[in-house]
Amino acid sequence: MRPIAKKAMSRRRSQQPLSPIEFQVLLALADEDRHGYGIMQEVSRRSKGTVRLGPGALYGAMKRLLEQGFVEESHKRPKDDDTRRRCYYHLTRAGRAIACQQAETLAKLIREAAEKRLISLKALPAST
Amino acid sequence: MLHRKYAVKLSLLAYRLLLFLYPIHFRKQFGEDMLAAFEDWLDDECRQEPCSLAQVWVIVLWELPLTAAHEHADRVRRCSTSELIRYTSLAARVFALVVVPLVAWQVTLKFAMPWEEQLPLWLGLVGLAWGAVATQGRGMRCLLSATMGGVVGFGIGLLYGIFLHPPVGDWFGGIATLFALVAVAALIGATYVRVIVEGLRIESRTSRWVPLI
Repeated sequence: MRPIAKKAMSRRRSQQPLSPIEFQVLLALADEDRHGYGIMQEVSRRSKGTVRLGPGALYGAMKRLLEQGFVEESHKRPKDDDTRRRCYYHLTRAGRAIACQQAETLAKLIREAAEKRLISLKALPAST
Repeated sequence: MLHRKYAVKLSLLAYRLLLFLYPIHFRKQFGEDMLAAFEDWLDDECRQEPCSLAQVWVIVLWELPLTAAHEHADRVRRCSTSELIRYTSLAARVFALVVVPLVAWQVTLKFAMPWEEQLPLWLGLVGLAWGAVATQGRGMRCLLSATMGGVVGFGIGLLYGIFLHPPVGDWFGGIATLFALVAVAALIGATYVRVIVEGLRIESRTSRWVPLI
């Protein structure tokens, strides 16, 4: 694809909200760099098993996040990592910014829902 | 324990084969990582009691067609207009040179149409074939107009046949469906051929354009 078209598409995409899976991936990478299965485990752990990502969904989202520059490959490896070649992913500054923006939007929506008494803020589940 | 080991090996082999459902570029970029993630997942599940490989496969088989279709759609969406026209023109060639003459020949044979009634049908076919093949490299507008002319000519010929031989009308629905299916299959096939050739071209690192269509 031509670079101009790619840039335009990337710009257009960056104005769109993140998909739930993309947001889950960014959340999983917010505290540390992880490899693919590490992200799948983190998503499952955080959602208490209600969200199970398979490799297809994960890497589909990862492709889009890499293209938009929200995530990049990390060259650092933890010492306890086995010898098998795995790619670790790192949240970029732009990725952190878009995740914050998305989280703020969601928090605002929750507050509005609470104001309209659709939800009680006390009834929200505690974060793990 | 031994049968679990075989189950994991078989699962890995099956998943490696299933990865071929994804577009080649996606597979090249993420195939090995996906396989590694799947292997880690299987290992983790096998360490638990009871071992739930079936659960892994349910999730994988649920998401795989959806994500593969999404990646293919994404690939097509990113194609430039000229690329899409090239795919369509290859589909039109297969359609014009192989399928249409075969079906038309069967129709004329079955209904014993005299040659003067067959004429518009065959003229339309010639137009279609000429449009799809002969104008290659002479401008897309020329190609498209000739192809459309051929399609219209063939349609007129077919309608002419339907009015003169009502049973041809019964065939028409089936033929139209067949044409549509073959055109779609050819389009998908052409996309794959193009993508494979593109991949080979990138691998060989030559800047020379490989004219496929």
